[in-house]
Amino acid sequence: MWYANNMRQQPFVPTTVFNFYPPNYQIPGTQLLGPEFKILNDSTTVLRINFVNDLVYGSVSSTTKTDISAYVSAAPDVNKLLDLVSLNMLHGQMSDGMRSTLSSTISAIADNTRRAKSALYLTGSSSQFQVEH
Amino acid sequence: MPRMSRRGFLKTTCCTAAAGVAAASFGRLGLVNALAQTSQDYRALVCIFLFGGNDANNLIVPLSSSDYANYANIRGGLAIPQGQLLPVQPKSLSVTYGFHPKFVEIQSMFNQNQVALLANVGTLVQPTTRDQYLQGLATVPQNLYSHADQQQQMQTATLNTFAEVGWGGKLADKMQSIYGGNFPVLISLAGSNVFAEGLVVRAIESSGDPTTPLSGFYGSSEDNARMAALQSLLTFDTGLSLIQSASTTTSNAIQAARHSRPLWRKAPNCARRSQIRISGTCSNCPRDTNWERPCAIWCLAPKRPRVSCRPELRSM
Repeated sequence: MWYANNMRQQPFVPTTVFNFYPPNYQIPGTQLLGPEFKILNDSTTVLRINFVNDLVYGSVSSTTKTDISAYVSAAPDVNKLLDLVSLNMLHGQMSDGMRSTLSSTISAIADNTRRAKSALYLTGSSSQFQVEH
Repeated sequence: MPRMSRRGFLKTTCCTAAAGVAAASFGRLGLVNALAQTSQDYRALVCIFLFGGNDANNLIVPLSSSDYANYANIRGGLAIPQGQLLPVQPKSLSVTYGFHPKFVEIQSMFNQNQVALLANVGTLVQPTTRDQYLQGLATVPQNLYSHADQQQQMQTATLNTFAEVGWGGKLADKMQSIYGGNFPVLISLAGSNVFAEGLVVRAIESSGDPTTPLSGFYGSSEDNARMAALQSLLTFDTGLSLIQSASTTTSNAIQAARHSRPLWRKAPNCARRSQIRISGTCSNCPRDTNWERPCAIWCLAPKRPRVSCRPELRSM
């Protein structure tokens, strides 16, 4: 609840009777409508990434645990790890550039658990994951 | 050395920003703090929009016998007793009015010519009489009586169609060239709102503390590499506008938080009934090595914005 409130989407508590964001919100600087962007701002974007951080590196509550064992098992082979992350988080659509950046960052880490966490954090915090496309 | 003018400061300090490049060593809020501390003519316009939440009929009440009787009759149980109202004499009028009993300081400021009231402000496309309205002879604002639409129109000053840019954003678009680059002409502490949106300028839009940093980075080489990767991912041109926009917002946010001092915080020590403090410069404070952070505190209401240097604020 605390996280949802931080990100301006606390269940059943929209800020107005028109729900969490208006359907006709136009993204500044574009001709595109992007309702959800109404609540994506300088603070919520950081808090969202910090939520990913807590989910991956810390804990979000005493009763919620994140099972990343499949990713840790795949971690010795960075390509395999990134395939799994791409499949589960990006519909198998991770771009070459993103893959290259993640690969070099993760390869420099020795510990498999930390490799998996780094891959999940960087993908979860990315705009490519955030915007479904 | 003479104090710098705003232009001088920006010309010499923010050349990277003026070149359109992110002023990475400053952060966007850092630019504001730096400007506030070095320029003599720093001013900020603070706008508070209550979305119609002010009970204006009890904020200022006519005091003459007949007008007060009329008010008391209409308001019934909500009327404030005449003797409790704080009388003021507007210079432009011959009749007296009274402020709500809680507005002692507003009354004082009014008497010092530091407060002005604009009454009966609303949206109209053209001068309209009641008869014209009832007979449908006048063009009226789109979706009149829809509070969401009227709130939108107050922020956009566009009444006959749905507008995506606000008058704050339009002002910022015009002013941006003075500052250059990524300087945040507008800072919203009320999240994204149409008032702050322009065609060119991205405001800092925060629904909390815009200086909140990314957590989980403690300076290890692994952390540093992960931060570099995170920021690198934000620069990718994916060709997808929605992703680009999310990346821009996130990049700006990270930049805003970096090297910035707290922009605002709740004001438990503030003697006034204020909830907001904005850091800036403190030109009339004595130099004190204990001050590591800007100590200018503006109590937005009800006291006139002013610099406060009370000792308990020095630890901020």
